Amino acid sequence: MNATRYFLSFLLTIIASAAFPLAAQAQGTRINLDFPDIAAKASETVDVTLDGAMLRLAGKFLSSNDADERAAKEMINGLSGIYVRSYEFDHAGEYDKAIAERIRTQLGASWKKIVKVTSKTKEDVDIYADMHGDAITGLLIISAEPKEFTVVNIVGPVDLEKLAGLEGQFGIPHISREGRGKHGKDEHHD
Amino acid sequence: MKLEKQLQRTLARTSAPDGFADRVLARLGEARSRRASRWPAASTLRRIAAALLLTAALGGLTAHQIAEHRREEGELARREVMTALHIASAKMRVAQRAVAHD
Amino acid sequence: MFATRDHALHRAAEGDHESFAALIHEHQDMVFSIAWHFLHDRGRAEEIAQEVFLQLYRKLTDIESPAHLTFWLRRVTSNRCIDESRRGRWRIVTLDEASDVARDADATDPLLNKKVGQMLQRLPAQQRLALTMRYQEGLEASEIGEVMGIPINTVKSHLRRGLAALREWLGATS
Repeated sequence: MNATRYFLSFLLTIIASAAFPLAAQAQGTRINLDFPDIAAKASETVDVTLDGAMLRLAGKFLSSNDADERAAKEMINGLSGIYVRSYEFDHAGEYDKAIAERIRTQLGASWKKIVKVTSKTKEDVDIYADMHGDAITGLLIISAEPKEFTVVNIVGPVDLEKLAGLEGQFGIPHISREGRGKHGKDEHHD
Repeated sequence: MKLEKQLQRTLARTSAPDGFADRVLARLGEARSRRASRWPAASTLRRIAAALLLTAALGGLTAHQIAEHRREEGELARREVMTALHIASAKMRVAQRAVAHD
Repeated sequence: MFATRDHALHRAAEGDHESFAALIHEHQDMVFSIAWHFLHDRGRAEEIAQEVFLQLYRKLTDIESPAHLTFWLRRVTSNRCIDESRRGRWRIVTLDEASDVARDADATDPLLNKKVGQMLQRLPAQQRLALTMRYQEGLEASEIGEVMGIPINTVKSHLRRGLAALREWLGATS
């Protein structure tokens, strides 16, 4: 819990310092995540494309009686898109890491990097927020592992606190063990 | 591999409780006798219902197909939302742990 | 063998109770085990398994073959488990218990079986079900996708993420 509070205050501090006034814009921008060359090399692919209409439809089918689904329903309320591409490869280094740069070059001036986690051998995670004043109107997460590349683009107002809390909400315990490495779960790979 | 072997042991089929089949058959018998006592003219009712259903089905076939398609779409969208948020949240947690350890 | 099973199915569909009882005996362990591994509650698992066979009785004429019957039973049991999971939450496994598992990591330890079973309960429903289909029933990802009604890549994702979570919780014993 302390870690969660620390993380969120860390994010909010960075966001507050990075944010600057721009013309009000209700929605963030959808980023093009489709790169056929990387998809062709992947052994496994997760491809989720949910525009506003599909999210609203999903909202009608998410149960209010189920804690996981209720949390998800609250999370997607007001969003106009969620796009996920996750590629897994048979061998390390099988994809061109420049793919992350090709995604980053699409980000306009309103996008601010809020977290960067770098590891030489494990998982790099970059998180960008589309900032309009103090409001976050979009989120981009780029995760690069030796054998896996994942990118998530959420379009619309994102509540970072809720999103960070979902993993625990979805039944995954928050484990913080003594003696673990800097990047937590990266200590062990499949 | 060790975990996968352990999962095969943990998730090995287990025997259904003793008398399971008898209890299913008993419930089946109860259900049938309830239906029989509640609907003395069940065969007549079934014929009427079948006729009504046929009429309704002919008129409502298209509407049903559209509704069914919509339901399938909705279920798929629901599952995809859960998958997407799970992935997004897991990545946020990686960053969270890294920041917390700095 | 297959002809006999086909015959039993045909006879059961015609209302022969002995044949239907034989079908129950043949498949009860599979159906009960799926529900038991998913719910970790013998009472609820039996209730679900009974409901599945009662539903089967009403649908016998729709079943085309023994293979179709196995598929149908797996699918209906899975759906009922997912429905059940929406109605209630599972027992919470504490982190202390997770640490104990890492210390007790012995492949032949019956206690480990129990604890891995408890850890499985912490997984999201779809991941838990996919792992049950994989390791209880020995199904391939494509078959799991058909049973659960989800794309094969989503199945692979559930399996991968479920295993990763278990490894993390169990202190990467593999």
